[in-house]
Amino acid sequence: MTCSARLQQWLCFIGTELHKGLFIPLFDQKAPEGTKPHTLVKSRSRLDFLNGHLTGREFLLDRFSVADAYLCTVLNWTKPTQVDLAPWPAIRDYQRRIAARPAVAKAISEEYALYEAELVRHRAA
Amino acid sequence: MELYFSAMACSLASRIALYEAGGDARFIEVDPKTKRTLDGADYLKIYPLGLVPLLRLDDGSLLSENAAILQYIAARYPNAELAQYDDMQRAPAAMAVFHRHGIA
Repeated sequence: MTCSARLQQWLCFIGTELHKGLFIPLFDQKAPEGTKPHTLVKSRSRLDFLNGHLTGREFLLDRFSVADAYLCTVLNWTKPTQVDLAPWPAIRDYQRRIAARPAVAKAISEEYALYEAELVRHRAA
Repeated sequence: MELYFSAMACSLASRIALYEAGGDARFIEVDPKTKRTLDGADYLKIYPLGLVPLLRLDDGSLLSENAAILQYIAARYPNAELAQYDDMQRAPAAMAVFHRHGIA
């Protein structure tokens, strides 16, 4: 196993199990009825696994990495998709911790302003 | 380097990585509904899948897929150490976790 395999592991986990596996079906307004509850049930094992890994850890790897940039980005979507992280306190604490980093907070606040402008644009269209 | 992004989409991860690295890029916003950039270009002509993020490198070529773009940014700014790996001696312990969860 090469050194980059561990980073690759987490990037793939976030991309497939969380981004595409959990959040995309929840965002999909045309998803058939029953998709969302099924997705939430199926994702429990993924969130359990992630919560276990993050328990007692500050980051996914030894220090802040691009995998943390990706994970905190998808965890932002728990709000619009109404995924309650209460059963996974290590993920919830991780999200708060990462979002408080100056570079992360700056990126999120800038893009949130752009997102609000996008909503205004769409309403006006 | 140009980053095509949509607000609060997964391309946010690339912006975070660039800010963490103190790196620079021109950010080009893509409207996810109209698939046009805010400066009026047809994004589907730039990238037929219409997905973000998309990175235009200095040689003009395009790099897609979040995981690839993030690793490209990490490699471009090595001093920021955004791809620091776990000590591989811990790999057996990590694999035990995988087995316990029935993943491997």
